Amino acid sequence: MSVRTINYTGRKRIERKHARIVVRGGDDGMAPYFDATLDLAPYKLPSAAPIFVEAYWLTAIQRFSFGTVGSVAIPEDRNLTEFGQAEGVLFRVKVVEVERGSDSAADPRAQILAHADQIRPDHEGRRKSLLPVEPGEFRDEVWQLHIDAGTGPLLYVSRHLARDWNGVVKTDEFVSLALPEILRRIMARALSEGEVSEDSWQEKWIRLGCQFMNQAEPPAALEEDDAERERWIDEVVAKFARHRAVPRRFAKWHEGGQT
Amino acid sequence: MSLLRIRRLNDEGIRRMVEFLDSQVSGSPQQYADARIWLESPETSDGLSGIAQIDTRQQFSRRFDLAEYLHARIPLLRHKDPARDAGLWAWLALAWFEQLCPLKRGQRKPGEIARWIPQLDNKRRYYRHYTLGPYLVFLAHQENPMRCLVLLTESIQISTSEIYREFVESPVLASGVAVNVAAELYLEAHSGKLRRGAGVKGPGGARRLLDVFMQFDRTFDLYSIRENRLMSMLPREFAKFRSRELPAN
Repeated sequence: MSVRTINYTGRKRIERKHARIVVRGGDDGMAPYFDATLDLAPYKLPSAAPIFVEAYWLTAIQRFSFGTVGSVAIPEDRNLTEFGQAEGVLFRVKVVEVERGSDSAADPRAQILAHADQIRPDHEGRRKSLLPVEPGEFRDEVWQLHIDAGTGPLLYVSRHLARDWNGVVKTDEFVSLALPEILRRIMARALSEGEVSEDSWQEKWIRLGCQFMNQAEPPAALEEDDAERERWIDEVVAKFARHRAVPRRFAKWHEGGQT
Repeated sequence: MSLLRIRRLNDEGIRRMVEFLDSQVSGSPQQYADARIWLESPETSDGLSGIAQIDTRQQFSRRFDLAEYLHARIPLLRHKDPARDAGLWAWLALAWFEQLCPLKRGQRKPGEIARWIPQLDNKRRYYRHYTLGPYLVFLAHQENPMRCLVLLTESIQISTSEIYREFVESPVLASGVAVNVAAELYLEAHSGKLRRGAGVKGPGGARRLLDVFMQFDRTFDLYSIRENRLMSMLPREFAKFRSRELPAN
């Protein structure tokens, strides 16, 4: 069951699969640069609306104009000169409303029509994590798992509750209490998606499950039999937990906290 | 000798600096004269490829002045990524230690380590560093640095302030328009100091302004919006700080 959210601002959220950023270079003494692949067609935005791509890290920001929705103009200079290196640099994409009654993109009224924020870029030549972790803006939960049908799972950890949000997922507490359940939810979703392509996130997670089960392929029965699918997932999670020494890690902090 | 060529503390230098800082609140504080040697010793600090000097006797009345001073020198270091070099900023803080942490009633209180050695992986602490924090804010507004004076008016012995923290922790820090509006509201043009009430937590204060900006940031592009428009959108609680009439819309 999906949860409905209320968007008071009316702006559209650009899905990650429609705003892909790849950072390249930076190892040869030159500034790293980025390529952005934007697909804004699904959002039905005004053609005159300007597009901006912003790269940011701590207090630094670099802003690039990408033309308008109707006439995307990729800037020649996409060098990330403000950052020294691209590590930790995130991106956002904004589509901004033009002045009412004007068709001039140079004079925007500045209302955001669509946006994507905290885009963690792919780095050319670097292996991408199967479960990326990003800071979450929520304050009432420690973590949230978002699974996008197109781009796969993304684990958010509240940056308000955990300053070291990236470090939280490596702690014994998180690995023993949260990670097995996260794996269970991802596996359940991956197996419920029906036919998927070979390089899809679903396929990668199913292959990971097979590795834990020492199987070349997932059993055919998983496709039809819900109970069999649940049983298989339970086994994958149990083997994962053993592999990650969950009992020992749980005892380490639990007993440590009691003494 | 008060002129020093800028270097960076290495791991050993940082280790000793932590010990030195810890010792200040112990019964037997290490002397700064001993720590000062680490600034030039190859055992505790490394040279940098470019040459830039600082005057350790240079007095700064505001954080803005320190940032401006550093901004004129850091590029000379030809450092590929100075902002991420914790050793560089620790070295600079140690170089001005006596000014940053003066003796008060015979004792120095250096405070948290993050003020002296930048914690770059911590978004809530990196900006508390005495030298890196003001420099980064200045850098974000280097094309028109006077506008960030509103964020850096305090004494350099202050590692953070209400308005500074609120801006630095938000994505609107680099918006020249938002910072201009804050300056328009809170900065006294003649003295370059914050107006009374700017730092209050209640209505009209900096914290509220950032709440409002963060709300606006969800709806408006604060890099494209015009200053007059942003100012006119502010709630009435900020009217007491407005120094000029807004043009009629």
